[in-house]
Amino acid sequence: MKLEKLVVQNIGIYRDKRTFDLSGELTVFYGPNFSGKSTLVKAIYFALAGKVLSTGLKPPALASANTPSGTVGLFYQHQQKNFRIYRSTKADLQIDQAAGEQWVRCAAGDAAVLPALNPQQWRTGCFLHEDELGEFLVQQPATRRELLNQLLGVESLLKAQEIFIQVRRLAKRREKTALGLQESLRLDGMADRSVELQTLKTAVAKSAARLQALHETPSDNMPDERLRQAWEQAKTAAQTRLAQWQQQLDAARAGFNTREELAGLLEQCTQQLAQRDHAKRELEACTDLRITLTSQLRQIEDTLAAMQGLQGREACPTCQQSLSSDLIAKLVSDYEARRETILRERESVEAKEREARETLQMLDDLSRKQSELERRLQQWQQIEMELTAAQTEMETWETKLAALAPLSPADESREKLQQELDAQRRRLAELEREQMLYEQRRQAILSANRQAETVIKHRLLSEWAADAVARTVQAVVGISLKQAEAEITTCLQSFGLFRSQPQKIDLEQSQLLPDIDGRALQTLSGSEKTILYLSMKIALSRLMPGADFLVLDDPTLHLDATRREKLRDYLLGSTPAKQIVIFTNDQDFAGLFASAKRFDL
Amino acid sequence: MNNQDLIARFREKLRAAGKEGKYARKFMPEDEERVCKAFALALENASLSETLLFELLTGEKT
Repeated sequence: MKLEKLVVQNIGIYRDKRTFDLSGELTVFYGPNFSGKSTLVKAIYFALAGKVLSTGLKPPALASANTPSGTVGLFYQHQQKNFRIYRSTKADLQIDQAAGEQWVRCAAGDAAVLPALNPQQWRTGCFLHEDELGEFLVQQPATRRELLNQLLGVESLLKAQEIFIQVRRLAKRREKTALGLQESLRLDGMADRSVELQTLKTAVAKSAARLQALHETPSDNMPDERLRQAWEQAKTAAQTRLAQWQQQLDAARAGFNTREELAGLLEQCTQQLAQRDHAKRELEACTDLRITLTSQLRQIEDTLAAMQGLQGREACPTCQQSLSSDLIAKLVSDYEARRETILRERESVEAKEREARETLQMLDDLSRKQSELERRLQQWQQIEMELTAAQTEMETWETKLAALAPLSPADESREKLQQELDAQRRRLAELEREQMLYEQRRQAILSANRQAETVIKHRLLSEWAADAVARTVQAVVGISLKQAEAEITTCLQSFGLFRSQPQKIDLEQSQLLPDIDGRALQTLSGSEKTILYLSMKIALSRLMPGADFLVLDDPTLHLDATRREKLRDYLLGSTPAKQIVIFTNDQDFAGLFASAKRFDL
Repeated sequence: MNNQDLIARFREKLRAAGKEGKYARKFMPEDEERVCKAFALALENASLSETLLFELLTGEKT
């Protein structure tokens, strides 16, 4: 990357827009104090890194006083292409690429647009600002170590190394746990009883078969036993029947305490049902009477209608006899009175008829209930008889069994065999339990062994990986530092810093504070420190691809005339590989660069 | 040196270490592949936990 042009507006003392041409290998800015040299150095850094070169300041601090925002524009070449970057102190950013006479907007963060250097790499690789040496010397070793890693671009590699080391520790912990478990799992006197178990199973099977054979084989020596078994079976059957009949009896007597209660209720039913014929006859009589009354009523009404038809006539229309109106009126009155009497009588008869019908209905229901009660009574009687029979039978068997003789010697032998078999079975159960526990423990040990093998392999794998990462770190850092250390040695040699033979500079070991001739950096003179730091800076910048320029702000502090000339020679020797931009208030030093482009501020 | 270069160099170192001492003939090519993948992931993700990396490395859930 090479710088082409710097544009500032509202930055520091540069309120109006100012443009500075930076193209070429060497540019020198000369100006007294407060002429804005450091402002331009900070502007270039701000354009590239988006941060302020001075520690602890934010970008708005770069803006001119009483202005809302300042802007820096930097034109540059990168990978044979022209770009410009505009950045404001309000964090606005725009990067364009030249396309003929046009500028095309580019995406920030693309390494093809801007070298992918972090702010620290820009700062260390491309800028030497005022007070930088002082700040560097007071840094803690860990900070300088971090700085070195940042400059070498191996932060991610070192972070990865840390994780791999943690993984190795994790694998070791897991291995320790697994081996501890493996160690703790022992058989503790448990033995494999499978052979003994099998032998005992065979013995049990044989004993059981022998006992079964003894039971099944007919023997004249054991008649009582066979008889006992037969009687026992008969007694059991009688007991079963007894229980069944008892259940049926319970069902039959539902609602009654005794059979006499049921019989009494049945008697009452019979007595009531004796009235059924009478009720039936009464119903029939009522029905007949109602029919008769209805017929009479119809005749009276016919006659009454005929009489009413004769009223108002002087003679009968049939026989032509003269009619007495008084007589006709009396007859009508009589018939009407009679009709009323019959109507009342018929209503009375109808009421009696309804009552008789209801009574008959009730008696019919009672008759059905009587039939049910009779059936239950018969069932009850039958069950009681069966119960008595079963009870008697059972008592009979009990009596017979009690009368049988005690066990014979053959029975005693069988009993002994049975006892032996029971003992064998108990022992078998015990052995099976022991064998089960043994198997469980054995499986646990096998599992722990497998687990231990796995974790040992995992531990070895993690060690292998961690070793490889460590070797990678060593190689990458070593190669990079070796180049830088050689560069620094050459630089120091050219400055004549070594009093005797040139010595090897070890940046890693010294954590960026190398000794010169056995003297610690802190004990060197001001000029020696400046030269060493400058050479270290230039050397490290070579490790960063893209850091192809060096901006120096007052680099001659502490240097005498001879050293200034050496510095000039060294810087000129760095071109054209490095583009050099110098800001100085040292007129003599500025005058040493006769061929350089010069700005007097 | 970008990540690809680092991974290539790591593989080189891994193979070299795999031929030496206690690591010799202990691992298969698939182990090497798994370790390289884990290394690549660790390079890209600095906050990767050791448990996850262990799982990636061994191919087994913890």
